[in-house]
Amino acid sequence: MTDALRQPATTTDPVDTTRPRPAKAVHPARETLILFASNPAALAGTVILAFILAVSLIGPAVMDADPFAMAGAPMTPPELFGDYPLGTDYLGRDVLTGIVYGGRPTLAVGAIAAGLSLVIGIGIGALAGYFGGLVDQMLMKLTEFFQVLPALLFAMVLVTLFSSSLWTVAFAIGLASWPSVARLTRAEFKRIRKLDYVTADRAIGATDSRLIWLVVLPNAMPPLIVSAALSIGIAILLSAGLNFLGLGDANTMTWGLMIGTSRDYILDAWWAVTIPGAAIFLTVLAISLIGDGLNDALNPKLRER
Amino acid sequence: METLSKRMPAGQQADPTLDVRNLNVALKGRYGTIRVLNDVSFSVGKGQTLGVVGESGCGKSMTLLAVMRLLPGQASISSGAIRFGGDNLAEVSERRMRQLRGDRISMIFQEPMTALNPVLTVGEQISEALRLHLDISRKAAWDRAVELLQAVRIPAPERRVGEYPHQFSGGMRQRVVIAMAVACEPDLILADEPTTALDVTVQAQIFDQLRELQQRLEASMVLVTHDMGVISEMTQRVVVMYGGMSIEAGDTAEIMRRPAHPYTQGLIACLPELGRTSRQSGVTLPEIAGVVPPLHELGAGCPFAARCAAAMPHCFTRTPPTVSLGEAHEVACWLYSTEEAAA
Repeated sequence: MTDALRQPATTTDPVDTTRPRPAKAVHPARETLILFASNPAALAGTVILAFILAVSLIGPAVMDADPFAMAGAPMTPPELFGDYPLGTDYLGRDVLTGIVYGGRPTLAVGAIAAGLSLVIGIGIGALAGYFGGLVDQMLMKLTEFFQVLPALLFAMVLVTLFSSSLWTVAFAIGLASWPSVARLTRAEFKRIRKLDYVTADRAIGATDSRLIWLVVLPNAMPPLIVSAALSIGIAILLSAGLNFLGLGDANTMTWGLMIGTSRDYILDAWWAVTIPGAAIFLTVLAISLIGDGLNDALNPKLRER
Repeated sequence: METLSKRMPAGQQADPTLDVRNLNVALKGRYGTIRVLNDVSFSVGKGQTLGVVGESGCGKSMTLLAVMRLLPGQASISSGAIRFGGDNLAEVSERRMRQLRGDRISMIFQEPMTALNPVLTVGEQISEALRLHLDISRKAAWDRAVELLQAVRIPAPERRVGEYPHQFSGGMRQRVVIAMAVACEPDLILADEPTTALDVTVQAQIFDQLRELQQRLEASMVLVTHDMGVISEMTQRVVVMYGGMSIEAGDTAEIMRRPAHPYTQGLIACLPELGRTSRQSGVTLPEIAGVVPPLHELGAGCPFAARCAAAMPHCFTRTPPTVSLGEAHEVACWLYSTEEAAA
């Protein structure tokens, strides 16, 4: 095609001239980002989550304290400008230290568990949705098997059977929560693989693996991104639930553990239970707001404005 | 059963680029197994364009998809041969087929609005087509993508190569699709109604483009359309399909001049002509009564019988024989069978 003719400016597409063309290429992801940033709720969620992340990641280095150590008189009520701004629990442990130190493991369990459920769910859903037929039936039977197990109960069994380390908890939650991701991925793949551009890509000689990972998956991402954001929140709640039941890692301070250990004293020291609860609530709320914001920004119907 | 084009009509090249013999495609579905293509045969010589014409649902697109081996899940080639180069595409491995697709054979789809991946720039998509078959660097593929966009007359190709499909109009997208199809300089281009979704003014440009590229590459082309006007403009030979069968085949000029099958006659009569305007004569354009019967309702006999003004009782019960009407003209119709018996 090296002898390609230089095109004179006369032959322009009539359709093209009727509507203004954007001067620069706008990547769909960039467009999504712009829409996301113009959504107040999503921005609020981002700010809250950024604050929580900053406190959890930087806090421990700044404070340099032991969250399990007795810091003062038991059940000291919160005093904003006193020694214990968030009070102490029934053993005299500082609640603020607990919140700051508990953030990292709580968020890590959420992220790892959500990551695991995404990897398993997308893998299984992609293969089932793309190939269909027998592969689909077998993988979906497997998915249904996991889906009928109550997630918390299943995670409890796994944690009880193995150790109660942070990794086991994250792994157990991930293993218990992938089926919904798999079903979503499968549905998207089933829809997209029939579209013309997939056939067109096959017509230029693309292999199945190329089609799955480079053609269909990127187009299936919007609902999966939303689902990923929400599943982090769910994983945090599940891990807090496990900790609350005393099945989590007792040697790592987490928000769930704080609620679990102080729950008997809720009438005498409400702050020791309520404040970690509020931290979980804020985190999950922030993630949900971000998820909803992404959902709106990625929704093609809202994009046509 | 006697089939059309079993004897190769004269005037056809001895060594065709694509030679389809007695192709049968079956579709397993709700109504049991349906024969979507029934003993379809045709061939395309080097550098030639073959038109495949017929109404919606007659099996035109299925024929192309069968050649590409991209038939939808429930459909499969039940018998027949598709000779291309040294391969029989009906039997080669999927691996070999992948090597051929996009490299030696490429396809242009009907709907340019949906035939491009929305998350990749057109440059990335054309580069992909190149890099799947040629051992070239990313940079070289990108540069070539720009050249290809220029070859299909997209203004400012250096800029537009980095844009996404949604930033292109329908006509421009179809040019991109054509650029992808010719990227590896294929021997055979399969075009499935490439302009149906476009404005009439754009149609002519796209066909000029296709013809020019085809000549430059010396590629053969199978052009599927339902427009007899396009057939007479673009093709040297034509196959008329109806109900999954080829009912008439031959040189385009010959068939346009002397259509034999009542269906072909109807198709050509539907064309508005300059010398025969409806306004002058005060008559409206003729139409063929009825609709294409669903394939699962087709029994024995001629598929067109129910709509045919000249149908005879045995048209409904027995498959019409193939009759040669000259050097390069064949028809499958009972109306001409006595001539064959006499000959």
